[in-house]
Amino acid sequence: MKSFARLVALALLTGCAGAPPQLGPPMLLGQSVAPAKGGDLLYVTTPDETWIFTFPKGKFVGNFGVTGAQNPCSDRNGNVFIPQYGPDDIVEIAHGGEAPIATLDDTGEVPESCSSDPTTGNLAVANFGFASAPGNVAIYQNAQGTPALYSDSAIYYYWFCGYDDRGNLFVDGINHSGSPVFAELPRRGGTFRNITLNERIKKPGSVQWDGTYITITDERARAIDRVKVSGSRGTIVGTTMLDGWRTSRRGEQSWLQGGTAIVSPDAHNLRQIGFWPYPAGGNPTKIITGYFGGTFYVDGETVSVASGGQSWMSPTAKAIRELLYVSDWATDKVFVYNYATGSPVGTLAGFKEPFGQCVDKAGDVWIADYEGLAVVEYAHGGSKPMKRLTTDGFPVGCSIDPATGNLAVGNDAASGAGDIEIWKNASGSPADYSNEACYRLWQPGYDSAGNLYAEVETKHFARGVCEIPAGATSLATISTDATIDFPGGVMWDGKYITLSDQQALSTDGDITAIYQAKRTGSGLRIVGSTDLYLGCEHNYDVDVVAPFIVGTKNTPANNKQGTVVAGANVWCPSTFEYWAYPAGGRFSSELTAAPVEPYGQSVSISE
Amino acid sequence: MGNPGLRILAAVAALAGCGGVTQPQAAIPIAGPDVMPHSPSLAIWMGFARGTAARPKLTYVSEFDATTVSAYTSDNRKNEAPVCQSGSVHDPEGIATDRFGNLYAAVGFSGFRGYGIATFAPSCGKAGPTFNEDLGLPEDPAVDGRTLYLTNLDNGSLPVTVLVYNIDAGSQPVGELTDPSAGEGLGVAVNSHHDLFWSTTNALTGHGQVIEFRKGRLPGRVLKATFMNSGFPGGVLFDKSDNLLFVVQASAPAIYIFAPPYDAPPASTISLKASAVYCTLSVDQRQIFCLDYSNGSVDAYAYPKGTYLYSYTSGIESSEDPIGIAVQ
Repeated sequence: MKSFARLVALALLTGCAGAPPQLGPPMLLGQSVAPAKGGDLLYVTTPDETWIFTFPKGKFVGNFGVTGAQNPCSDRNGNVFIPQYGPDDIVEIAHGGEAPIATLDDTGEVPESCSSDPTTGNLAVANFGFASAPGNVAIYQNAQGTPALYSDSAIYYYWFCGYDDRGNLFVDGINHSGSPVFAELPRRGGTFRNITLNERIKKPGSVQWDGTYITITDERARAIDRVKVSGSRGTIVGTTMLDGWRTSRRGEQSWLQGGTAIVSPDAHNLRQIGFWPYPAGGNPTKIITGYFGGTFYVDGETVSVASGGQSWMSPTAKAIRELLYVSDWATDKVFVYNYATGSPVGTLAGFKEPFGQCVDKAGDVWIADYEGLAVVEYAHGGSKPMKRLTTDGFPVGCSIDPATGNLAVGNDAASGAGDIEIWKNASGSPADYSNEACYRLWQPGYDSAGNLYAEVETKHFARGVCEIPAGATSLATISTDATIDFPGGVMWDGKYITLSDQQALSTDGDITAIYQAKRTGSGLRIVGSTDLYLGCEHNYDVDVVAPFIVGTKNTPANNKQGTVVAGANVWCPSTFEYWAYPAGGRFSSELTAAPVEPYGQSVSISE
Repeated sequence: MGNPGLRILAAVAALAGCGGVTQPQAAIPIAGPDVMPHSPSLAIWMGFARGTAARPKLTYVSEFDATTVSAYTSDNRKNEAPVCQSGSVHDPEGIATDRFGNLYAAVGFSGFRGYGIATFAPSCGKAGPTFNEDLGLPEDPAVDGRTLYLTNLDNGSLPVTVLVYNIDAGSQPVGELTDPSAGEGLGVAVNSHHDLFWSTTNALTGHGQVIEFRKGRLPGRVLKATFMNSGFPGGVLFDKSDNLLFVVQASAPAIYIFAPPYDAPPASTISLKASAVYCTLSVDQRQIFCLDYSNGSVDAYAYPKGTYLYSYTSGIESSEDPIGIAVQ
């Protein structure tokens, strides 16, 4: 099905036996990365390329060119930031993506490493410095714009920085004499506070929060120290020895991810990445080898992990009246934004291919978890599921009956016909509705009278619409004068039930069309249409699977036609656009930080 | 014909060159398998010095537009004329000496026979073997035992390279070193651990940096502590304590001195009275000589203090693009 099409990573992997396991190169090297979906990814930068592997398995996903890459970091959304010396900037790449989605200017500095504040999304960049001038720390508010610069008179060269879970920033570097310095920029403080450690760090390396302690990698000691900080004193409360790590002591980044410490170079050479157990330490448990250009000038010094991570939500999210939820197959997450500003406010994790969405009158959001075989309910601005209902197929989308509060879910089937499941009052056990004539279903939609519609294909790909009339007990076809070239979602726009065509043919080519329809005695009659134009390259490459029409109230409560269509364009990775409704035409604005592979969306309005 | 180094550096400052010198005390095996291989060929040896007989202390000076390399009494406070000359040479750039006193000069061979390294026996002795360089503009040599390194200023394409020769294995390079960050190669030097250090412009920023090749092998690693944010790099050299001296041409020309392991800010800086591409330490390392290309002089400074001592100009013309300097 077109709506389920996705880009598949080109990775080929050849494993090599040994202790520790060594993951060797694929037969194909040098291809550009294909967006990798789902799960954690390991990013390894060499000066001119970035290499992506699955994590923790270490399977090669792809590589792409960069310029003067230094030590990358990732944020809570899994976006990766790569500092580049030469261009003097930091490029932001979406999890699994290839093309930068943003570039932060760092002109005149030597961006060395970075860290993302988990509480604010601010990005800190350690600017190394020059022989003739000390470095500094640049902090980009919300990872955007012009940074605020901070410097510590005790530090000349800045190596690494890392935020703790409260937003305090820790930095290491060396002073004029080459002695290590460790300092903190408190969350609310504008100046550095130097921290005296109870033991000397020989060669300061990476700084990172491990969930309990701030850690400092000592490259000369080949160890990761866990530090408990109290005021201006730091006490090393534990040390992880990385046996066999033959560091060059030139600032290779180590990265902690769960119970693994990832370090480059490993015990053997600079072209390898090793995984060590953390905090146990000892010998590496896995080595990735043979990548990183395979050329003589490989540097291979940096590692970062874009994590599948955990759900999070800004404490302010609940108070935001309108929240935009976007399902992303590339990361298996749902990203939450302030609808009015486009600012990220949260991420919902734990999905396996999140798909279509719907909202109830109260603004609770239901998300179809396609491979997870469930629909999951979240409160407006909530980060924990309120309810998870298991489906009997692969759910593509949902709708809430405005009259009863029933929840309808359209499912693909692993074999045979799909179905619609309806949960009374969105709870309990569902009633199941299927019909061979409604073989494949897209996201269903209730009208204000409680009639449920879904666009369908027959087994032999004839397109049409099926209906469960209010109070009825069966799913059946309904006639319509709409011509649907490729089915999409159905939705109440506040005035009409709307059908959508993902691949409507217009004079400009393939676009997405929305048809406003009225229920008549003979079926659904089209009374208007909205064309969504202007994709990433041409007018005709717009494909929105289930356009979401935004009104002044949540869909089931909405009695006034919406004014905006929000939708991810699946033809154009990392794009999410807004069109005027019902006027349509060219999109009026875009979501700046769109996910890579968005497939579903909704707007929740707090009531 | 003008100095190719000058043409490139003119945007920064008018430049005439010079040459760095390293005099390691022990030989090392030729660069190993991590060096990109070249096809070796045999060289013919003619009277090249391999002994350590007592020799006069001399300072060699090369000028790009001259046909000889001039040798001066090392402590030439009286501004005396050259005591002898080596040549002929064509378009000499950086120069170096080995522990036997043999002179190596990056040159263009006469009669347009290409570029490479010309050698001469100690104390302006007769010409020795030559080493060929077919791809770039040879800029500065350094010798480490029986290994000879030559940085190109420019290969015609990025990245620029350091060619590696086995002095006993003929005139062709046996390998090359490079790094993706290298823009233009200015100087090479070897420390007592046989690690090669290469001063280059950064290919992206155009500013100076030093790249280290441990044991003269790939991969290289940029020494971030040597990043410059202005000016143009010159040569590199080491003192007997293995401090790395990095010459920088700028509006305030200087030598930045980095202590091992070269990851801390400069331990000290010597301010130069005028720009030089290359400097060299006296044999006793109590003075450092820099070839001032603007004024056509060798400027002597106390080392390591950096106090300016004296200059001599006899036989040196700024119009001749003085560039290389080395001591015997």
